[in-house]
Amino acid sequence: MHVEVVAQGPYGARIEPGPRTFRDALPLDTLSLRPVVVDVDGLVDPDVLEGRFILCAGLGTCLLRGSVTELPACSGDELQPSTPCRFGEGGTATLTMADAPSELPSGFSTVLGLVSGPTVGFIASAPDGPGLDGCLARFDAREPLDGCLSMERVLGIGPLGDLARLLEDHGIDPGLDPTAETLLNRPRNRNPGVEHIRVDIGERTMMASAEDTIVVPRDEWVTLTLETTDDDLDAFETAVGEQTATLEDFLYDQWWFDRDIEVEEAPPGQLWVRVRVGAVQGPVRAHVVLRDDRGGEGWGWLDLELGD
Amino acid sequence: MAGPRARRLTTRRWSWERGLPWVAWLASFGAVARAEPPAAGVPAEGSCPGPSCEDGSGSVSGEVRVAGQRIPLPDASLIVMPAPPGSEPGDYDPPLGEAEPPWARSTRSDDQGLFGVDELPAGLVRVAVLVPGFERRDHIVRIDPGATIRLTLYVVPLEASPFRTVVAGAPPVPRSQVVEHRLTKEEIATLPGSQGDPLRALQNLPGVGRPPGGLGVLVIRGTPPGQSQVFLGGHAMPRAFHILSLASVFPADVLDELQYVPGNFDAAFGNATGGIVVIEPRRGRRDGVHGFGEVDLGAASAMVEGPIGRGSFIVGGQRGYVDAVLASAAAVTERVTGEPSSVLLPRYFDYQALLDHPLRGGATLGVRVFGAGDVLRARNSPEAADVSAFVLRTGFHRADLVYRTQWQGWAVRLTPSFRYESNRLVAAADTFRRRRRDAIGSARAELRHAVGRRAALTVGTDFELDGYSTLDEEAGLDLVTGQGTLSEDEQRGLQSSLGVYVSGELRLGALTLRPGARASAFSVGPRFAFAVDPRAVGELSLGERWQLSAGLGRYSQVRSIADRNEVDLVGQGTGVQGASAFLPSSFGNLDPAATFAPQDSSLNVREALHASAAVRVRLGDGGAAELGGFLNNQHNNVPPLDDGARNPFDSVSRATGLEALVRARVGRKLYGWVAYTLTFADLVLLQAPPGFDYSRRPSDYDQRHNLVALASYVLPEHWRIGGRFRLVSGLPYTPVVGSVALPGGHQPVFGTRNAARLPLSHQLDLRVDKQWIRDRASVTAYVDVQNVYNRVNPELVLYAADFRSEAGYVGLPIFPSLGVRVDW
Repeated sequence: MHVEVVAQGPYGARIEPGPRTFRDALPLDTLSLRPVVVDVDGLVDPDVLEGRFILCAGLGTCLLRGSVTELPACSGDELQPSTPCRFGEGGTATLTMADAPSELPSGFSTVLGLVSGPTVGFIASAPDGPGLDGCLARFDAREPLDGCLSMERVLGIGPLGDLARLLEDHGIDPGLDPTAETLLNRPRNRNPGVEHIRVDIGERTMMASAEDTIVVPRDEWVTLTLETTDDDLDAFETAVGEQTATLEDFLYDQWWFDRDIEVEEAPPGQLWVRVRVGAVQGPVRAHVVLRDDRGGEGWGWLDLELGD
Repeated sequence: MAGPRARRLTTRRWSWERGLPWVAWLASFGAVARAEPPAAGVPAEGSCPGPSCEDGSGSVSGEVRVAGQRIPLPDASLIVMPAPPGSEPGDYDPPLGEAEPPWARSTRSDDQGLFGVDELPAGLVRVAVLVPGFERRDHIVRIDPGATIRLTLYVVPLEASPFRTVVAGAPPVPRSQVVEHRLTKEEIATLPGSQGDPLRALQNLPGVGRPPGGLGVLVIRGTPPGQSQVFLGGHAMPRAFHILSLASVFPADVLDELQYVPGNFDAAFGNATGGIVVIEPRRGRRDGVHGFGEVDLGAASAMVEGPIGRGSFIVGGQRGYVDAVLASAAAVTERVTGEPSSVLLPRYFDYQALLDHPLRGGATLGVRVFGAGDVLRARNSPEAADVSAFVLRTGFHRADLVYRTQWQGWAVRLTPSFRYESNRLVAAADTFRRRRRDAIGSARAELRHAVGRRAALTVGTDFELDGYSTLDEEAGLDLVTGQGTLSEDEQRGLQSSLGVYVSGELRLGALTLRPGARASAFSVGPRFAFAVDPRAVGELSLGERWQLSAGLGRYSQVRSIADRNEVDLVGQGTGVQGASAFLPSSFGNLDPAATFAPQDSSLNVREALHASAAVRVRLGDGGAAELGGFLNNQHNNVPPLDDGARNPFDSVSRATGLEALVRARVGRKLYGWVAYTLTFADLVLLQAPPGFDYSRRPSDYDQRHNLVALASYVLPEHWRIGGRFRLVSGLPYTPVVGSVALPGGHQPVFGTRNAARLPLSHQLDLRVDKQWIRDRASVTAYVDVQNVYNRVNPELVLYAADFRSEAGYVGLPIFPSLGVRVDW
């Protein structure tokens, strides 16, 4: 699910357009929600999907708790509603975040409980699936979900420092120790992007742009490595004890291939994958998502054409 | 005349195979001549038979014992004759077609196996021992004038079994039950696929389901394992199996028989709504010091027993080392594949020390000390081979006194007992610790009195007082301050149970009635629960062979701990996530001891109604056939919610079915049976919460068909071969119907609880035993191969990484077990 801030509300420092979209939102910011769906023919235009968007509090609570058929419409008054609600139909949606709450969520003593909860669920029928109503009914009946799509994503609320100040302005103690600079100084999170992919074939190295087509040998291992920039890492300086340290997002990747080829995945924290096409016929498309540890996502693909 | 005549016939039948009719004749003569048996050590009548007697005569005396077991053998025929020319003292192997000797003397061993023959000519003589069912043995000795040669002659049984019943304990107290099955020690030890384990052997009987994962839990008539009880010496065992159910905590060698009652059991036993298993330890042998040592792929065990004063003792122990085997296998796998592997490593031990001693006035006193300990740890990767992220330690030690006497016509049995239990769990890389300790005192007192010839009365009481302490520790990290935190929750309390029971027996001709009742009280801290359970069983004999029996009764079990496996109290959390596989719910009760603190805010009693009936016919040669039906209707009585409101998950479990058993035994060579169980077991929510997706579902242990056919046959040369075939319906499981895509993975979406069923499973197990018998010891080697044709019997379903499709099943592969046992 590609999530980005498309309209800024009254709070926080003004954000400027740049090479990366912003994922963290403050109250009254507006988000665009656009599922990334891939089938064997490639990317699916989300506008052709019959889907329902649901807002809830925490992963696993939008679609896996109670009925998805009988859901009230969201009132727009709660950042994370106590019971799931629906706020959009179709393949894409926008969501304007509710205003800052008058109190912290029940059971939480810090602002962290506020920022970790808002979650979006999306359930849809594939173009040749049983339709949205069919998928909703199957979910409720716990019947096989063939032909249905579903996902959940936690929405990023932040930056935390801005939110804490906002709560204080509303007379709410955010519960954070002022010395928690590591958290309070963290900048508004941006979605990482997939722009360049390094390709290593034996001793040869080439740099490919996302959505390029490269020629790879059939029986040789090929290493695909995501190239990242400081924009992806959202680096910032903060005090850690007596010292100043540069902190940045932790990035990780996932790869999918539309053909059954040999794949060797990298250890966590390393952004590469090794593949060998072998006897597979035709070009192979590699889809990749680059994620950071705050929910940011960026998507891309690369076509591998067989050759010498 | 019938006795000697029969003996003669017997003698001719076992006349040795080398075709010496004169020896058979002498042996039969010996049989006839024993009309007045000689006193111990006194030679038989007769004069010196050979010309060398002129050089003086001597005697030979001694004893005949069973080879390998060293127990005296009475009534053995011994023939003394001249030694063949050129032979030397020692064992002698007679040739075929041997000529009749010029003279021969015969005698028989007395009750202690002693014999004696005097007036034998000086020089070499041959002593032959002939006993029905034993190999012939010839031994040459030199007779010196005026001297007596002492011999101990061991004879080898033709159809030996080291699993003989040696010392019968006190006769079992007659109990009321509609259906009862007993397994002998020989059957337990030789059943294919059971590895000599007593409780695993029960899985071959009707009413006992095939356990999930091939493990050793008891699923009786569709009820969860925790609802059945194993009683040892009159007291419930805290756990009947070692961890992961690898083996029973009480080995077969210290008991004579298992009594398995799948329902409608006697009022003497309570706190169970499934079935019961009653084990009575045996007394040690008094015919010498004996024992065994055994080693197989998973465990080593040893036992010693013998007389002590006027009583007897047994000391034994077992140590399981499956962890070492699995760790080695994992290390090899990692080396070959280069991939880290995770495996659970179970290790266990148990020990037993039993002392029985007679007292004045016919009373007996027994002391029994036994215990068991288990460790289950996770081995995660080569780098963390010595660092476990998960360790479960559990163990108990128990001491019983057993006092039996007769008092004014009452048979009295008193059994005080003390038990100490300890359970400790360390998980999540040592950040999560739970501990529970229990000091438990219990006792059972029972009196039985015969009222005339037609009636008997039994009254008794049992109680248990458990002082427990629990400690939960959880380390965490304060996200704000970055400091480590430690939360502790310590609880101490008392829980107890008290039962009072009475049962009677009234014999009215062909009809025997056994009414009874049991009153029980349970407490956990300030919470109490009570139950009164009337029960009755009737038996009607129709001639000598046919018997009808039926029973009806109420049964109760305290439920102080949330039975998470019963309803969806904790959602679908019984799976193992991250492995694309989920265990069926039936795995959820494998180790009830791992539950630590009482959790429910109130105490309730699960109430069951048992009704059953059976018809039984005795077949020839010890065989029997039986057909019965049963109903077990339980109100699970789920405790109310914290606010006192009725729990919306309160439920009724119902199991009905049929059981059939045809059991055959042909002589001493062949035994076997065919057992079939048909079960319908489901759970009904009494008040399904709004939006809940079922009100009735199959029970976790709803195993529709269960067929077991087995046989074990004794071959010549001390070989034994046995096989078991099992055909069983798959257990229900909760299917994954789809998934929700989450960052970095997929969250499975489960279907309705137990909406799917694993496929039918079938497997063949074979066991071969070979015994070598020497004079003072015997060696038995065995191969027990489970799942001979390597059928994949699904235990759980594997899913694709996105849970959108089933990727296959996981089943246990062919599993050979090798073992060697030395008995002396």
